[in-house]
Amino acid sequence: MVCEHSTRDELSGYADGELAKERNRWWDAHLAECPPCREALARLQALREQLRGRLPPREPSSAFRDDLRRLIRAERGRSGRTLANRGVWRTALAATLLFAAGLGVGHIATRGGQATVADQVVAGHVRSLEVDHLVDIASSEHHVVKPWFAGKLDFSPPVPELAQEGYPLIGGRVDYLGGRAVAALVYARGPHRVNLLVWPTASSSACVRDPTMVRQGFNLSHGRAGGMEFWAVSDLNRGELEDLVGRWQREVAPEARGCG
Amino acid sequence: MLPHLGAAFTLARYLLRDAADAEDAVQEAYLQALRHFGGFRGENARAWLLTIVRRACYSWSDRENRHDHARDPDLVDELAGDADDPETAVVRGELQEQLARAVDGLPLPFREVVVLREIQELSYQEIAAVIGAPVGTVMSRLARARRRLQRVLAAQGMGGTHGL
Repeated sequence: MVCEHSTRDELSGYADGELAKERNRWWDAHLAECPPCREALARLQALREQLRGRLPPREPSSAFRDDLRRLIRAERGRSGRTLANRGVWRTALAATLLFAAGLGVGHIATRGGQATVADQVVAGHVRSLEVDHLVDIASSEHHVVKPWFAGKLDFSPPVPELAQEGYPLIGGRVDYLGGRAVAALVYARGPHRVNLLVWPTASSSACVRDPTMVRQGFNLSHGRAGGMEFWAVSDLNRGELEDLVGRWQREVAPEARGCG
Repeated sequence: MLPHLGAAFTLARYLLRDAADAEDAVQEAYLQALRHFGGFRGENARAWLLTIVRRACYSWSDRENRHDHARDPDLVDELAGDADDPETAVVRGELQEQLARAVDGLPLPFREVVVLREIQELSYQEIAAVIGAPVGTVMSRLARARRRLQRVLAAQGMGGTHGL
């Protein structure tokens, strides 16, 4: 004995208790007098029971859980900080742009503006270490780190590997500086970590480096190379930070004036 | 605290059939949820998050060029499923593993409604919102998915009311 209704999609909806009242009543009545449909319903219910009771949920690994928790905590901290500092940033950026326009250079801020940026760079560096959120992509290989930035930034940052020079790449993340998203590259020197913040600049591709500054005990280096502007910050000593930055500039723009 | 991570990972894992891919998609989804929507909210935060996870899975599999057999459920009925995951077989019971394999073998449009219904226990209405399809489509996909599962499980001697 067969019944054309026994293979209807609605029977599945009936088993789930998801039919509209009227259709539900129709099936109640039909099932009361149709053994094949009752059997089909029993098979559906058996399958449901099988799946509900035994189809295993997949558990994320605890390592992944930890990573994700860290990532989210950092992301929350970052967006909060961006909002909080937006006003300050706008002022600093405006001062920078005005001054730069007057001088015809793209990167050097007013003394006051640059001081603000330097303080922000330091604050960002400290925070990246504090919240254990140094990198979102952990890799020592530029062909892993560089493509990671695609889609997260509106530019493609240069990501030279400097392991041979004694500064292995740790990874990267997106950070915010002056209201814009920048690439944060992280290099290591022994136990020291260097945050190198990079974004494009409209000015020439020549290598320029300002005198190294000290803020809150950290050394800071600001300059540009290969059409990129950068800030480097670390507790690394001045000589080594300048060495790292110099090598980084040469890797980024080997041919450009002042880079060699 | 990570709200609904278990549900999110389970969906991603069944959709992408690979733990590492699922981790990437879930991470992407949580960051998107934070960045673009300011966190987890709404009256049904779980269904909302699963919507984002599902989208992340689709774009992940597009990016990885690991297309599922086909996305059109009207075409996929003819295609055989294939999914094997030997490393987890030893961890879980054989029966559980057989079920999970059967679900893994379903084409994507069927797989997702089964997971959303049988593991996440969402209503048809919620599933419709998650996959962006009418409720009627949810019902028919579930019905077809179940027919396929019954066929597959019957062939393994555990279908219907028998073999339980």
